[in-house]
Amino acid sequence: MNYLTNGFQEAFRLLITGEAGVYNIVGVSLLVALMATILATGIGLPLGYLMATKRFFGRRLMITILNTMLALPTVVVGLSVYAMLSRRGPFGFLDLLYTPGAMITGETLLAIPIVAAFTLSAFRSIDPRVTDTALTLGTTPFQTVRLLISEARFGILAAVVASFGRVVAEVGAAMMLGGNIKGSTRTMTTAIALETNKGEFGLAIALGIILLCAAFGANILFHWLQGLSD
Amino acid sequence: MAQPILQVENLSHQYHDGFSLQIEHFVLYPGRAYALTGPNGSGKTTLLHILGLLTAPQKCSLTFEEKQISMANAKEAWHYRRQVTLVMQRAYLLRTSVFNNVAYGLQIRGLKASLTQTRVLEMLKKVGLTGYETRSVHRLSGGETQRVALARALVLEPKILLLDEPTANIDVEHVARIESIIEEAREARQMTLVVSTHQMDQAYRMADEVLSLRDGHMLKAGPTNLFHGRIEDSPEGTRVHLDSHVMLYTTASHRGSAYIQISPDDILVSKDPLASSARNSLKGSIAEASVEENRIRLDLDTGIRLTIYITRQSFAGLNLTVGNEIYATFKASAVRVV
Repeated sequence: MNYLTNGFQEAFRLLITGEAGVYNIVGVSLLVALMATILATGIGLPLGYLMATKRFFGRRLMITILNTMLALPTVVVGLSVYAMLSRRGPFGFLDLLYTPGAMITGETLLAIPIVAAFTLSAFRSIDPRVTDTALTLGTTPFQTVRLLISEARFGILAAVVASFGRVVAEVGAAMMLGGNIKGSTRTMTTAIALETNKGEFGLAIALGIILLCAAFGANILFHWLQGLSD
Repeated sequence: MAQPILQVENLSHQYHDGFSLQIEHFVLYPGRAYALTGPNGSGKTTLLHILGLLTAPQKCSLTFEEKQISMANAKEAWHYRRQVTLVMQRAYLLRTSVFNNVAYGLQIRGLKASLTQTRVLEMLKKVGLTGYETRSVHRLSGGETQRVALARALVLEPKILLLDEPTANIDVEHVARIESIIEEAREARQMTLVVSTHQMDQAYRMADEVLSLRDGHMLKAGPTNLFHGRIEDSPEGTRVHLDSHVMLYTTASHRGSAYIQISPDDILVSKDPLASSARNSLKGSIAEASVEENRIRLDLDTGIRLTIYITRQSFAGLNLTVGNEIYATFKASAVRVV
């Protein structure tokens, strides 16, 4: 049990002093997660809106695929993006593999279904009278969409928070696409895996505490936003 | 009379359930108030939604301020909606504060923030909601919700205001207040008002002209043969005692105070009493006879003023003139509660 106690002592020391590049690792994690969330929101939000408000050929199939992708194993995404970005892959010329760019690409693909599915649900739960109300007040088509987004704002924010929570805690794709390079692509999750293998519990526990706080914070925010929308 | 502000021609709209709204001609004049009456399912809400361009009918020619409006043209429809505002029966308030709801329409029109604030506060005062500015719409009662929706529409000062049962969800003590707010706004802005209601007394209080819809058709010249009375059971059958002391038989299931209507087309005219199964037969003298389209309209004084339509041939065949005493006969089922 001693090693656990020592591990926690070391973790708190690292958290206070910031030694062993703790905050660099946290920075990389947050950067990758934030960028992926922003990109996934940019793609998933319009996708969710279209599926919720428009009727088009293949819409039902699209929703089924989207729901399936919610349970997509992260290593499968990692593998797919790896195949695309490796030197022999179609996008090998971009030289992105083992860079934060590759990690952001993979995490974005993981987050898009979450943002799109939650946004679809948020728009579907809007009162059907909103559009008519907007029209009676004289909105332009753009203003109508803006009002719909505003009415679904809590659901959309919940989608963003949920996708952030997913990507910040993800390890499979981050490891495969980033390569766990210190100072460059080492994130909290990949560092924890590595340090645990090395028997360096101090750093692993320190990062685990931060990760837990981040995931916990995201979940609290998510539930609070869901409560507001109900 | 001034040029019409809105003209509807050949309106035809059919729902999948078979209900259809068919109106040949319908005109609104600026500054006038119209009440749309009729039983539930007669097409009042559908008509208001078509006039508000929320429902696109299968066929309709709509002329607003002498300009033809194409519903398929988004820009024209948008321009029209900026001047014609509808308040729905179950109004939806945006998920924000009362102030933001009332201000929204002005904000999207690009009004300055200071002017928006002044107008919103003035309007909230008019509808008796001063002090409610920051209140969330989730904390409003049904009546307060309807007043916010009304304020949100009135603050835009539309040329035509369409109100779908504006007092349906409002406490009885607030009905008069809402009616006076609407009346004041209409007079101040020379606004054209179309209000749907199933309460005949409200229709006559609020409107210059009462229009009647029945089964998707607008009855010409509004509700003719409309009377108030009390419906009661008697050993002889269900009877309605009209305020004018005339008694009629009816098959209506309603009891107590009611407005009843007899369609002019359901009444038979004869010089002698008819031996028939029809339970109502009133004797009266012809007060007026006039030609309407291809028919003759007779106004018969029987203690109540009955309007009857007959063909030219029947009129000539019976050799009728003004002052003749005749019998008006109609079935109990023709006496309908409105």
